[in-house]
Amino acid sequence: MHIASGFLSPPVWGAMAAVSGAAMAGSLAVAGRRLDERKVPLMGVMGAFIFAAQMVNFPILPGTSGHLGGGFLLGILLGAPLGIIVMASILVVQSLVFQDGGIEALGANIFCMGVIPCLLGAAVRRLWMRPKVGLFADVVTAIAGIVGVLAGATVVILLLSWSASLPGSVSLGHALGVMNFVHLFIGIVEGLVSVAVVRFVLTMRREAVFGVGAKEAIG
Amino acid sequence: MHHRMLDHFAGGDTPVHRLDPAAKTVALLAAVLATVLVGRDRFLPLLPTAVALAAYHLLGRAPVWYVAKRLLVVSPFAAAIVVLFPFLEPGRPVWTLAVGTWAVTVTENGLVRAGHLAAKFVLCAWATVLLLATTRFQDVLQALERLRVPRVFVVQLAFLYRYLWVLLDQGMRLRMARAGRDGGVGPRRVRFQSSVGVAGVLFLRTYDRAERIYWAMMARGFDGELRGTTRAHMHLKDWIFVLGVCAAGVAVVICERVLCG
Repeated sequence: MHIASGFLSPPVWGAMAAVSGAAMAGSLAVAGRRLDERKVPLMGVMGAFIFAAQMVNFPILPGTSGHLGGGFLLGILLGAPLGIIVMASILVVQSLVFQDGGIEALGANIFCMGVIPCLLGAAVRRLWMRPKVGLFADVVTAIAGIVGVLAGATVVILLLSWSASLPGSVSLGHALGVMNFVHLFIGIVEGLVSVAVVRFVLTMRREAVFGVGAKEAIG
Repeated sequence: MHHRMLDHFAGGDTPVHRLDPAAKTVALLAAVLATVLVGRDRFLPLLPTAVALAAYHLLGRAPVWYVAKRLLVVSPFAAAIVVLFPFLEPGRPVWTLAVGTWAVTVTENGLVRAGHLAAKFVLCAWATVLLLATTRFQDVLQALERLRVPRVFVVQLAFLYRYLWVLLDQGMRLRMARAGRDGGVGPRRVRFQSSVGVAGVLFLRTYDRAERIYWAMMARGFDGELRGTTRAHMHLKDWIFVLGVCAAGVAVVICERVLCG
């Protein structure tokens, strides 16, 4: 759901650039203060990991398969500040190198696909740091994953509507309905896949990613 | 997918390639702003930007087929909106298609709006492709650092770009290995589990790779600064280029506001 160049009006992309710029500044400040030096390459390759993980197809419903968005998973695995920086770097590269998402719309795209899902992921991260992780964590995480995708899609439609970039005969309610319906399936993929991958990581590498020291180190 | 594909033409030696990367990066921003600040449904104010990009394209000897191919990879979401516009915007009907009791109408307003959005999108994407067709990505990063983008973020972009191709290759190898074992058949639940395994293994290998990279960096004495083989400086021609482009952009925006109301 990358917003391309020309779709947002100047006040809207300007405001979103300010919001995401503030989120980035906050994340960079936290990262600068608490960042262990060895997390520098980790963040970099995590961005590349999301690119590669997006190639993996997950069969979920009959006839459909989906791939990962990534922001939500990064929020769980790295926490909000690092997750937001990594997602922002991914969106910058997608915009500059692959022409996916407009340059002036970067703020909006970072907010919808970076800030929102990373904050939700970071919110459920603590469930996975408990000594005993039960079914509760799975369910809450899956729901948070779906909510993150739907919230991002809703904000995209609201921004387009405020920019008068929706066709005249399409009501806001209509657009929201269609967009959320489509993204419900994308969200289900995101939620289920994130839970499954986090479970996998928890089994294999609990101490490094969710250990006692991990919170201070990764924050 | 090959990394050579992306900055394959950035190693050329033309007047445009020799410009300072920071000047070119600022010029890209000016071109994008001069495009997106044009009021809705106006085409004429987009013309100067198109002419400027065409001139840059010719001077930089960027191959037409390469740029055209990159422009065709449109974000599906943007394409869907542009395609739907002519049908969903109210206005004077141009063409009506009736299927039984269903009638689809294409309106004049809708065509104009769709054309305008598509034109803006193409101009911005063209400008972006031209920057990377005439400048190496590492040089763009160095330019960003000189333009006061925080160093942590520039280092992040450098690492991401450096390892993107390594991990894409690794992802493809994992996918191929999986396909060789299950051939894409079997119960959905099993295939889902094996996809999770592929993503999970990719994550763990990436995590371990980060550790190895860290030790390699320490062995080389990394101190947080990225040192390239080239150091760019702003010469007179770079100042003339960047100030000229910015002045032209401002002129376009002001003329558009004054002349078109």
